[in-house]
Amino acid sequence: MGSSPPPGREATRVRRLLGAAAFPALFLGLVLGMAELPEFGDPASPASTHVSPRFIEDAAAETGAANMVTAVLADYRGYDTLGETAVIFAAGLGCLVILAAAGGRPNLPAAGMSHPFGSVILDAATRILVPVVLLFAVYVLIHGHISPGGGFQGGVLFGSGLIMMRLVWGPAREGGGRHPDVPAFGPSLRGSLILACAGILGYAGIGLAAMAFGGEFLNYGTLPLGSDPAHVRELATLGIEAAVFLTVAGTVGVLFDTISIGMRENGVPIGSGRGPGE
Amino acid sequence: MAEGHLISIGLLAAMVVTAACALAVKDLLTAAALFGAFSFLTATWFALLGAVDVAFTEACVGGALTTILFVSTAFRTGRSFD
Repeated sequence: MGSSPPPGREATRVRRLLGAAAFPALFLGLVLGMAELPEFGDPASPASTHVSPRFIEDAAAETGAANMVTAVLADYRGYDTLGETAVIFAAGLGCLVILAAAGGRPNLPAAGMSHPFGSVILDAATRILVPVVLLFAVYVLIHGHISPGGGFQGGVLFGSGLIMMRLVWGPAREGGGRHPDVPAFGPSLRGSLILACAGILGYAGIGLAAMAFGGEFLNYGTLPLGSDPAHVRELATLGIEAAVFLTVAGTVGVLFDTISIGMRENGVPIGSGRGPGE
Repeated sequence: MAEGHLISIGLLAAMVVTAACALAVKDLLTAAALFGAFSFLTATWFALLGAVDVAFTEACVGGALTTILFVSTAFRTGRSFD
């Protein structure tokens, strides 16, 4: 920077050389660091000896969840998961505020794609696939105690099902979809937003309810849902998972609807002056 | 164990190739599709390591959802990157 030649090609070359030197050094450092890591699955490694045995031995008896991942995410570390859910919600809100304003169409119920990718084959495939996807999403949510899954994965699956309907049948409109025989399925942008809000408020509400009954925030053991503490925790965890499900599904709907506002409208996307087909 | 190692190495090599291709191509739609392939390889590798929950999330979010969002964004901003 302090030398006399004008900035331009010289500066670019120096930067490239620096990059070319830094990359192998970083690569070598990472490889050497990796060699120091314990063997995968080593029972004597710090990760396997510190807190893991406590969770492995007591999680099922304490929380009623056979899937330890769910027990940790929704119960032991419920506060972390509340933060993650809030981050996802905030991402959806940010997308809504920035893109809906940039698109100049903050007309909430009518937002979304202006034209569907309609065809007979897509229509028939969607009719078969979407009910299965939505049902599987709810199964993943409810079965998260026992098998891999839970509110987050179920919510994403549910949102994907909604997006599939949007792609093929167009946006949810007041008073019917594109075809007269296809009713408007799925929530509008406003509906998705309400779902997401209900989810995050429900999560915080369960935490506050635990406080109201004399426990700590998100310590579900005090909730008056029965006499067996593990069963109470199981029910509360299911409530938490359902709240995460609503937040994620709603946010997915908000994200897709705001990103696709005015998609294919006049073939001129915002910002670039290039058409989508170029 | 040896077979597991071979599958791991194959998956990791394929991940590096798809990631490099996603960075190299100019067409954003192609890049989005390559990112989707990368996510599915990652999910397979997570499942191989025994982290089934993480693999499930990666397959849902990385493979399906972000690919859709990337494609939507590519349509919104113009498809070519130069």
